Formats: sequence, C-alpha cells, structure tokens
Amino acid sequence: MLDSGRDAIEKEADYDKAEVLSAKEVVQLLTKTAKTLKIYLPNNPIHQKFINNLFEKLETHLQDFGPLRFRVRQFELHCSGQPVYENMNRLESIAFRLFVDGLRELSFHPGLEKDELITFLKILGRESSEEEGEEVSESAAVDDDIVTLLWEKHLTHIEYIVLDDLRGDQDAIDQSKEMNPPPPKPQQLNAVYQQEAMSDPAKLLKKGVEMPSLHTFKLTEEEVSSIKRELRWEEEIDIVTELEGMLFDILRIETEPGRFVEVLEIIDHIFEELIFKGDFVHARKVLEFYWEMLNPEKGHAEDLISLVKEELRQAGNPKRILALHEVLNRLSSEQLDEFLPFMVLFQKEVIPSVIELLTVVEGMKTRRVLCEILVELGQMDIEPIMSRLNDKRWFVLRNLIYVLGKIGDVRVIASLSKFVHHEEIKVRKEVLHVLDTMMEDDATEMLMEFISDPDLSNRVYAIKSLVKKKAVNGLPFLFNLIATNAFEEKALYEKKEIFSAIAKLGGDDAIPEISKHLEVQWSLFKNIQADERAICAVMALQRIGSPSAVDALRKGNQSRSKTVREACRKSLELLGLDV
Amino acid sequence: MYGYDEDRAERGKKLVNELVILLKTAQIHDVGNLAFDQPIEKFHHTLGLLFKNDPEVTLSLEGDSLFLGETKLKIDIDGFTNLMFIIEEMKKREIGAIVFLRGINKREVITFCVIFSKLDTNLPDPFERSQQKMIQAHLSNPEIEPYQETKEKDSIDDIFKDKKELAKQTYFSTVTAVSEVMDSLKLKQAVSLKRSKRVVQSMVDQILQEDTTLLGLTNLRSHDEYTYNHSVNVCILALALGQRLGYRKRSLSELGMAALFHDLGKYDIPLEILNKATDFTPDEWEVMRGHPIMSVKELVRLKGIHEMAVKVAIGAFEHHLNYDLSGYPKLATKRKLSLVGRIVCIVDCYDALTASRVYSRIPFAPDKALRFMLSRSGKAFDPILMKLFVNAIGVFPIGTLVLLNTKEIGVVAASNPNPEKGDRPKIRVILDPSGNECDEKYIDLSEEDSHGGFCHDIVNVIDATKYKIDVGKYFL
Repeated sequence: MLDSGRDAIEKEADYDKAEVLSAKEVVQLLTKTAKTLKIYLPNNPIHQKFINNLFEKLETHLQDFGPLRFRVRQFELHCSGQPVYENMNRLESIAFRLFVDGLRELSFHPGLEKDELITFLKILGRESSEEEGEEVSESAAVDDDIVTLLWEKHLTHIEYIVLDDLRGDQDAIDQSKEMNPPPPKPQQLNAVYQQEAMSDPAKLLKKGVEMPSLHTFKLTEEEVSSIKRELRWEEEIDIVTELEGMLFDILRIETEPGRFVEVLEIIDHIFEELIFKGDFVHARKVLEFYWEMLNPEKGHAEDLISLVKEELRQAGNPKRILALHEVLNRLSSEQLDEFLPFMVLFQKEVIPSVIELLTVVEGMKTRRVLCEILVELGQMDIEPIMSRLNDKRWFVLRNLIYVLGKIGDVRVIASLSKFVHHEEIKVRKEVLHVLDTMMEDDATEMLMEFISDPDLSNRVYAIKSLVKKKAVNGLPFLFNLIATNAFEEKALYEKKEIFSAIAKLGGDDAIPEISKHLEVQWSLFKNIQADERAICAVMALQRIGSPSAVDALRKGNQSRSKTVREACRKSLELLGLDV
Repeated sequence: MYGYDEDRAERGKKLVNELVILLKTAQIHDVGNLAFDQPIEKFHHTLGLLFKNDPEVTLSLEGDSLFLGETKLKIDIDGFTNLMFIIEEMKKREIGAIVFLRGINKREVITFCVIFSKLDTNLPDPFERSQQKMIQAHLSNPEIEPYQETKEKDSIDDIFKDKKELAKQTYFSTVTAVSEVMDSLKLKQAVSLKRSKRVVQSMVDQILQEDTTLLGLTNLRSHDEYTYNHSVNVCILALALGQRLGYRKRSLSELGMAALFHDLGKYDIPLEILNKATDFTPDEWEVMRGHPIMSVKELVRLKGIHEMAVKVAIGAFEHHLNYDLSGYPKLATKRKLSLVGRIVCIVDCYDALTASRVYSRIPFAPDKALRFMLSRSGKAFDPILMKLFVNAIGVFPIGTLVLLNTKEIGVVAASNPNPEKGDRPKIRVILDPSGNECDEKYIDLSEEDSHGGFCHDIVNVIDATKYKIDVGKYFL
C-alpha cells in the first residue's frame, strides 16, 4: 500500500491523447454501468448490456494501451496526468467515494475477467447505496469500506494503492527506536554459556526436555467437528443480539447507581437507533430486559429499579413514539407485524402517543396495526382512548371507535351516542359495527336509531343486527315503520329486509300485523306501492312458515288483488302445500 | 499486488484434498478402474478453474509448506491432514514440485497418480525413478521437479531478511495506530478505527503468507503499558491462532481488531496503576477489573450498532471471563463465550505471562508460560483452542532460549509448520559449541542425519530473564 501522494500534471507532449480519450470513455461507461446497478436487477438485459459494453471497452483499452491507471483526486480521476472524470457532487462522485476511503490509485490490468469487473462494480455500488442521502461517515463506512471489500475479494487484475499509512510514520519510527532492545553483553552470553552449556555435561546426553507429548496437542475428529460447528455458529451470530446481551450482562451486575445510569443511557441510545431503523424485534428485547429488571424476584435494589422504571418511561416518551411515523410509513408488512408485540410492552402509558401516531401514519396496514396495539393497551385502560373521542377528524374517530368496539367494554356505548348522527358515514358505520357486537339493551336502542340512517347500507345493517341480536323489543318500532308513508319511499330491497326482520323477530306474534298488508284495496289503476308491501308481507309469512302463517297465506290466496293471490299461491307452492 | 489471494488458496486446498483422494485410490487400483471416475472428475474440474488464469498449475514444496503457485496453502484444522499427507509423500519421493500443464487429460492425471502412489519410497533415488516411470508411460504432463534442500534454507533466510522490514514497519505502525486511538479516547476526541483496520489487514496478509516474522516480533517487550506493544502482540498471536482455525480473511481481520483493542477500556486507568511495580491494592484491582466493561461502554458509545465495533467489544468483554466463567466481570447469568473472546483470553494471558506485566512481575519463559496455561486448560482456557495455540506457536514458542545437545545455545526462530513436529522448531544459534557468538546461523531441528535420526535436539530451555537477555533483539 504505497502512494506517491500527488502527481504532477504531465505536459501535453508527454501523454498519448488517444489513450486519455479512451480512458475517458471507459470512465463514462463505468459511471453509467454503476448507475444501472442501482436501477436494474443483475439479470436484467439492459444492465447486462452495459456490463458487456464496459467490459469490451476495457478489454480494447488494455489491448491497445496496456494497464489503465487512474490517479484518484478528491473529485477527479486522472489518467496519464490528464483529468478524465470530474464530479463535485459528493453523493454521486465515484472519485470522491474512492478518495475518502484512502484510495489514491486504481488500475485495471490485461487479463481482466468479466467476473472481476462485476465484483468491482458491486463493491462500488454497494458502498454508494449505503451512503445514499448522507455524507460518508466513518462509523457507517468502516465495516465495508471499498478498500476492505477490495482487500477481501483480492481481484487479480484490479489493483489499488491506498494512502500510505506505513511510510514516513515518524511515530512508528520513534516507537521502534524506543523498543529496540539492547544486544546482550558478552559477559551475559558468557554467563549463559558457562552455566547452561558447561555446568552439567550429563544433561547434554539427555534428549529432550519435559514437555507433554505432541500427541496431546493433536485435535481429535470430535474436536475438529466441534470447532467447525462453532465457526459456523459464529458466522451466523446476530450482532445486535450479542451487543444487547453484553449490555444486559453488564447492567445485571452493576450496583453503583452512577455507572448503572451510564449503561442505561447506552442501552437507550441503542434502543433509539434500533427503533428508528424499524428493528422492533431487537428493540423489544430491550423492553423485555427492563421488565426482567423490574421483577422483584431478581432482587435489584430499589433505587436501581426506580431508574429502570424511569428508563422504560423514557424509552416510550411521546416525542420519540410520534417520531416513529416516518419509520412506520416505510416498513414492510412483515416488519409492521413486529410493531405490536414491541409496543404493548410499554403498557398503557403510551396510549396517547399511539393515538397521535394513528393520526399521522399512512397506509391501511399501519393504521390497522396501531389499532390492534390500542386494542391490546386499551384492555388495561380504556379512558385515554375514550377521552380522545372529541377529535374533530373523522378518520381518527373511526379508528378509535373501531378500537373501542374491539375492546368491547360496555362503558363505550354511552360515549357512542353522539356519533349516531355524525355527518361522516364511515364514522356512523363504525359505530354501527360496534353496536352490532354489544348485547346490552342500550346498544340495541341506539341500533334502532340507525334504521333511520340516511344511508341504505347502514339501515339494512341495523335491521340485520337487530335480528341477529333477537331484539324483540325492536318489533313495535318496525311495525310503526312499515305503517308510515315514509316506508313507501324505500326501495323494495329495504322493504323486504324490514318485513323479513319482523318475521324473524316476531314469528307467529307478528302474523296479524303482517297480514294487514295483504289487504290491498281494489283499484282500477295499479297500486305499485300497495303491491310491493303485500309481496313483502307474503314473503314474511312464507319465512314464518307456521300453520298460522299458512292460514294467512291461504286467506291471501282468496284476495281480490291478483298480485296478492299470485304471490300467496307461489309461496304456498314453495312451502310444498296444496293451493 | 501484495496481499493474500484467499479464493485461490481455498481452491488450492480443494485441489489438494481431491489429489489425496486420487492418490489413495491409486494405491489400490490401476488406471482404468471405475473407482477413479468420480474423484478424477472433481479434480479435473478444479484444475480447469485454475487453468482459467494460468497456463500451468504448480504445487510446490518450500520447507514444510505447500504452495499453489505463489500462494501458500494454509494449514488449518480443515485441510491439515491432507496437506501434510501431500507434503510428506512429496518429500519421500524427493519431489519439489508437480506442474500440471493446461491441456492435461484425465487419463494423464490418473497415470501420474498411480506412478506416484506405487513408487517404492524405500529404494534410493525416488525422484529419478519417478521420472523414469513417467517417461516409460509416455507421460509428459504433469511435470515434476526435484526437491531442493537449499530452497528451504533460502526460505529461512527470506523470512529473516526480506520480510522482516515489512513486518517491522507493520508492527510499529500498529503500535502507533493503537496509541492514536487510545490518545483520542483520553482526550475525548473523535476516534477513527480505519487506520487500525488497514494495518490489521496488512498483518492478516503477512500472517497468511508466512507467520514466523510477525510472531517473532511478539518477543518485543515493553515494560511500559503506555506503549501498547502488548496489544499488538496479542493481535499477532490471535491471528496466528485464528489462521489455524481456518478463519477467512474477513474474520481474521475482525479477530485482529478485537485482539488489538482488547484492553481499550484501560485508556482511563491512571498510568501509575497500570505501570505499578508492586502488587495492586484491592481498590486498584477493582479499577483494573473494570476495564472489560469500560471497553464495551466506550466502543458502543463511540460506534453504536457497528458490526466491527461490536465484535471488538465482545473480545474485550470476554477476555478475562475465563472458559469456565470464573474470571471477571462476575456475571449474574451464564454466557456462551464467543470464539473471539476465548482466543483473546488465551493469547492475552500468554503474552502477559511472558512479559513482566500484571499476571506476574517476573516474566515466564515461553515454554513455562505454555505449561502453566496447559495446566489450566479446560478451566481458564478452551482446551481445543489451547491445543491449536500450541500447534500455532509450537511446543517451544518463538523466542524460547534453548540449549542444544551440541552445546550450541540459540533462540527459537520459527516454529515447525507441521504440528506433528511441533517440538522441532528452527533455531537461530547465538552461541556456538565453544561459546562464541554466532551471526545469523540457523538450524532446523527437523533435519535428519543419514541414519534417520535428528541432527540436533533441545536438551534444555534456558530462562532468558535469569541472565537479563532480551531475546527481542534477535527478531528486529
């Protein structure tokens, strides 16, 4: 790893113009191909085409001009002392990327293989994608910096020179002088000789010295397998789990509050880093550990336990939780699934923050997960959720009502009354769904109000819900409804649903009320409204199907109205009865 | 380009493994036997991959090391047996190199293996007879070259001359790199590990090619903790052990970093404690025992979730825990120790014992240190890694002052790469049989006389400190 550091720009006469031009073309193709790596999959034909073109260009260059050497400047690449590439944009510049990593020369050599070129492009591309949107920081780049990756891959035909760390290192020279041991003095050596070689001639006859047999150091097959297993295990270790494990081990044994807090703070930093990366699996382990520390059986001192409690509170502070919205918006579905088990470990204290989060996240899945979290946390305390029912935003209300419904606490019912006539249909629908799941009388009463909802689907849902709940106390309301003029305005579908509900709820008791609607006044002109009502009544009687209902149908079969007669006859036939 | 071509070495190991199968098959079968079908297919395929870059593939013997072209093949737990088999068999036939030329066919390979395997090695001139048999079989590919004793001698000289400068430069640059990091920590400045990483990468390359020179430099002792040469020694010793384990370059680099910064947490300990000549008071011990935890705190504070920093932290945290967790810090729950932690634990203790440091104010001679550590194998130290450590540094570690049966006194200069000859290192003679000082004279203890016996034996290990001799001088 040597470097002359700087090169003088060569005079025009000293360089081959054709070579420099060719080098320029290579760099152009190189930058374009590196970009395609970000856009296309490796097997994409466009990407393949770029690689092939670049490889051909490089091969031709190497054939025509020999090794292609680029001197790396901060924002430029030079070939034969001439600039062949310049890009001042730190995020895009290949030169800058190489430069900050200490690379000062990059060269391609004859014999270059396509695989080597692809590996090189991947190294270049990997680095850039990791730095996307931010300047290269050492902590981000030191693990897999370009030099390290090139060093690991050892590409035979792509060489590099790194900023010299070895040469001219005055400190190192000083160190070497400082540590240069003095040569043994003749009298010291003489003493060794006299005492060791001359003192006991018999010792010279004895072969060897006391050491365990070499056989002892030979690894058995079992030992080899065991160590290989460990090597494999070590390759797969989860670095974050290891880090957490160490920090937890340290905190478990720390008893001095000052140092305890110090470690807690470190854990909190890690925790923050994890949650903003969306790594809730590892973040959850931190919270689980805090709960472990809070377990009285573990015997930690009270003052330390208070510190952990405070830390747990701090871990889920509102500002931090709210800041997670950006993270949540970009998470995959699988990652989102990990958010619930993580959040519930904060317990009810974070409910307000989760509600706030719910107001800002995008994506249905994200909102659903947040609602599920609220459902879990709301089991512990429903009040913070109920208290937010004054929110003016319909989508917030809708989600909160959904959550409250899932919690299923009866206290919810009273708080829902104000939404029965809410202007937003989705809010009313959500209320309806909640009421549907509640068996309490006041829920049923509120449900009946929905039978007058402006929205057809809500009305029908409410009717069906009454039936489902077997809410017989709803019958008078329904009887009244079918008797009103407003009933005439309803669509046939809704009318049928209402009669059907009456039939199911009332059974034989409803027959007299239903039968009234078979009595259609004869008219010279067709009375469509009356006919529809009669048909619905017939259908209701058929659904009841009891002897009394059959009697009513037979009676209807004698009606002067042809419509009623035919409907009754058809129903009797469907019931398998003689007309 | 300088650097160790790991992929090529891996391929070489594969080639050797496949060649061994062929040679063993050839011991019981003749050319044309179906038993060759599968192994020759594999061998030929691997050879084909190597021919992609080179027109010829050479397996050559240099001393006790086998090379594929310029690349030394690692003796690790995985390939040890087969590598040693080839080395021994080549030596028996006095073959120094087998050169496979591009275009070689499967039948030619099998014919060669049969000739090689069935040669009676008890008769004289095995190389010439091998050559004759190949001519009789009209076999011109592969070619074989005779083994040259002098080549081995040359390689010793190479070790101590050509590579010494680079090793020294790397060694002292590493000392400086550690100093920089520790100084930055003391001054609460931003800490960069990049430079350290580069020097460790350079060390990895050197260790993989030839570990003797750097291992020799671990005999440099400083009694001042501030100089950090202990950290560099621990790094070198860890790399030597990691290499035996079969670690790849990346893992070796991480191990090297972990070893280099295993004492990072000491940055805050006052020098008067670190360099204290007398025993520590209980309070001082408490401060000293806090350094593994301090290391973790600092690394995590500086780097957060950062793969290499975490690995370094693991090494630092675990290196005093002991294999049976009897060390410090005393943990509340059981912990599975990492390989890195167990390796650093061994090499740290070895270097500490052999220097006048905290374990003992009077340094142990290397062999005594090993013996002491072996007595604690399975308790303080992982027994398997302990075995590998002995294999890596030899029964008589580099730097051991020894008396030979010839009355010559010397320093162990290089361990024998063959663990089965771990007690037969190479010696740099410092005093001849008459007690006169020698200049650059080396003896290989594995050298045999005409009767098959060894020319030289170690009859005694001398405690260099007793005579106040600093053997480090012989490695600079």
